[in-house]
Amino acid sequence: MMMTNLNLTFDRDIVRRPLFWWYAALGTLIVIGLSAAMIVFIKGLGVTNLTNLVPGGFGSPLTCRPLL
Amino acid sequence: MQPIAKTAVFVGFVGYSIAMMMLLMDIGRPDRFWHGFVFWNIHSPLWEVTVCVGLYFTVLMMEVAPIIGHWDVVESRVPRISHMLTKVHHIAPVLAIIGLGLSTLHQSSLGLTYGKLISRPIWYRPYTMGILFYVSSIVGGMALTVLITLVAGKLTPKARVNKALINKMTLIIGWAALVLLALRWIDLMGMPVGYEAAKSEALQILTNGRLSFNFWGLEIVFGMVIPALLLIVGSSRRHEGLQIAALALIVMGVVAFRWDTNLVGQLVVFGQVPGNTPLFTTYSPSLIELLTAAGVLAYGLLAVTIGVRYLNVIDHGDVVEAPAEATLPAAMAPSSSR
Repeated sequence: MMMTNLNLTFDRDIVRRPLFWWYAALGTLIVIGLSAAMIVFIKGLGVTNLTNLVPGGFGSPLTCRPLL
Repeated sequence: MQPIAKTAVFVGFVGYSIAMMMLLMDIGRPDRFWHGFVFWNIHSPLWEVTVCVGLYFTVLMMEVAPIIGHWDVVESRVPRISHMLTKVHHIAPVLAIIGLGLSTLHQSSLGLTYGKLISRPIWYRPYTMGILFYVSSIVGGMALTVLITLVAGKLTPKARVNKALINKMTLIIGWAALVLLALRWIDLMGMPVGYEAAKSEALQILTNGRLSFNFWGLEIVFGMVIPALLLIVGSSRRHEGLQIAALALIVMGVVAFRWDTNLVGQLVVFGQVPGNTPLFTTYSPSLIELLTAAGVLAYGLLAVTIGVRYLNVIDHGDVVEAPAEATLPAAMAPSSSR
């Protein structure tokens, strides 16, 4: 039976390239962003401090006060 | 200008996918995003924006199809699909006209969504809000496209940038920023003098309150005046570092304009009730909003990186610039010059 040798060695030089770290940083941020988005989807916009207590949704009657 | 069209289409595609992701996060019931396309509310500008954004994104996908079709991997591995995708290029002029119409409609209607709300007096400018949103989208879009082109040209040899073309574009962007500044100024200065509930308080917040740094600093001075001057004056425009800085400032200025416009109407809460003292509130993004935005922006940067590296979206290499002065054939030239 013929066997094929697969050479799966890791190219150590790749981590020295700035582009690798650029992709790694963007990938990390995308994963974090997706996780945050899942929380919003599951729990609703209440987690962003949005309320239905005042028109527009910002703040609440407690945080609203006269300007001057 | 043709070589930069490819970059503009790709940046538009990435930008609109970013916008749609952010909207999906903001609508409260993301599972119902499709309702606007099925249950029409033809009297609502917001509905028009929804439909136009959806259709425009479809047009952008078709405009990006030939770029994908010309990708080496697609050409070599699936030549039939590559041929199909590149054939879309034949209808590019039609797509450009449809795209222009759709983008004009939804950018101006986005302004009208704010501008027609009588109950928010600071927003109620039905004639000018649409124009401001439309002009700001043109200025911001052009500035971002050229900014990405210049930054990519500095970072990688894969982005081949025609400096003469960029020089012309930045001059146009400089003048366009001045037009935006003039419109913004005329719009604000044209408001009636005298007290008007909720509007006067909102103007106070914008020009002398919590949003005053955003308005005077990020939007007017650093977002429009300084970059416009840098790009209009020839000596500073030809300096690449200053060009990049000015374009980044214009993008920031357009973002600040939209931010200020959006917030100033919502920070004054109860002004519309006659006899009531207007109340105001504050806003700062929550951590979860910042993380979501960071994720979406990272997607945008990743898409642009892939576009520049593999899809050659910034390639002005084949451009031959027209000579500054037309040259006459030797036989027609005056004898003194021979």
